[in-house]
Amino acid sequence: MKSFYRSMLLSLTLLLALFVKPALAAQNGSVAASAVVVPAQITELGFMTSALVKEISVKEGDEVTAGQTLVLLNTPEAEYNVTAAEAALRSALGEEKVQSYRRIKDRRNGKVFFDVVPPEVRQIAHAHVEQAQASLEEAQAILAQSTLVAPHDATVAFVKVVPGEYVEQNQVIVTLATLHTLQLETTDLSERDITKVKIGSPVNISIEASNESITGKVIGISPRANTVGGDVVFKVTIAFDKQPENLLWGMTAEVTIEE
Amino acid sequence: MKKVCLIVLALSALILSACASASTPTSIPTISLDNNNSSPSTQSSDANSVSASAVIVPVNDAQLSFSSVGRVTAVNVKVGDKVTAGQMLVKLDTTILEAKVKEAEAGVLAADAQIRYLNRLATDPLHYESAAADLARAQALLESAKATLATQSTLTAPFDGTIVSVDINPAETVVPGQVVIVLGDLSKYQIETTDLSERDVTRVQVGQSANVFIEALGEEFSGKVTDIDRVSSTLGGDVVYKVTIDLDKQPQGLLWGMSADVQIETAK
Repeated sequence: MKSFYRSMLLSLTLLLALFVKPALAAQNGSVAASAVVVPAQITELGFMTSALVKEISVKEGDEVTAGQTLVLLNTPEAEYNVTAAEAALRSALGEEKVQSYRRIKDRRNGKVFFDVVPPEVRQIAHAHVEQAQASLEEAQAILAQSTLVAPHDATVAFVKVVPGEYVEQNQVIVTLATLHTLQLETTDLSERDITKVKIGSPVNISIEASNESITGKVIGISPRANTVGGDVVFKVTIAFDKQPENLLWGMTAEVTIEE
Repeated sequence: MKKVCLIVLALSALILSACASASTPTSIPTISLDNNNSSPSTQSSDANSVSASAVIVPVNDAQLSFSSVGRVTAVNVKVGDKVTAGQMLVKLDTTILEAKVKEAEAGVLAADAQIRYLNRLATDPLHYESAAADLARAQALLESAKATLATQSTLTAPFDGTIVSVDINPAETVVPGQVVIVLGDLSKYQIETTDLSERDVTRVQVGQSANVFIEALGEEFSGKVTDIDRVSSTLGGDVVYKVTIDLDKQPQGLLWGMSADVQIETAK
């Protein structure tokens, strides 16, 4: 008989827990939700061309500065095209010079004249130089596409390839993230609660990993809902008033947004 | 004694599983003909009305993408920004396209000088015509290069609206068709049903009035059926038709994706 009561009690507490949990979620005026720590900016870098990777100059965890070279592709044809365009430009420049020095022998009224080349011929030679110059710029720009550079100061979060591997157009090769500026994004804030959330609302944050309680502010509300397991939820972005130490990307938190 | 324990355990398991299944979404509308009370929040279709679940969507929205491959140099908007038609949202690196325009401009200069030269020399018409054709070709190339630069390198807002999502950052690459920005005109919403079954759709007609209960606001609004899909879609094995309902009055606080229960008055 004892075990009967025990199992009865067990099932009752389980039932109670199931019903009480959602009731705890939204207590008088404030909105509670789960959230995850994410970087304020994530940049997923890739190439516009498909080629073999020649060199990777960074590894995961590295701090990079704007303009720093990250990955280099092996594109011999692009290099050759630049060399060829340079040669074509030199040739056009030489031709222009030749046309400016050239004299044409002419006989008029029994006298010999050495006329300059007609102006149109020189204009054509000059236009060819400009054309060659533009072609070279184009070839250089295409070659520059073989180099991936950091667009801003950040931390290298992921490097997805090793030298010698083939990368496809638009494939994400390097992910940069601003790990010094982290924020929170809610994962399960329901449509029933979203009307109470306003930009600037104060937020109490409880970080599970460090068991810390801190404060923040709502800085963004998604204008469009997502569905999570059949529930309609809205993503709310929260900035920390003061970012705690030892916080990592992906850590979970419980947030209470004050009305 | 053991038997009793087992029965209790089995019962509690049953109750628990019932609870679990109740929390997952039910999408198939049930038709109960004997139910005559028209409570909007319960899904019931009767002889006089058809009920369905629905979602709130903007009347006008666009998934914007580029028509060419490129690297992004600037993203001028963020989620929530209001934009006007024609406003530039995202810009691609244009070094190559600009070089192509310069090349084509030089080509026009060369062809133009050639034709002036032949004109001055009063050469035979055949040479002249050939040069004229060259000039026309060079000009067409220039126009093409300029048009490519103007249209492929920037993404502009097709209508006034609000930026709903931005899936691109400066320095990232784009390919044709990749959705980088979602724009919606959030000043006007409509209701679209998600699970109105083929069994009910025959009774629904454009112009019928509907009661719309919006869960997030906890309020009921009136509206009218404005459109019925001509082709079905399937939802978890059910054949459903999307019915669009315009609200008579736009309530405050609506957001894209909120859910609603609608009851369409079919008997009039």
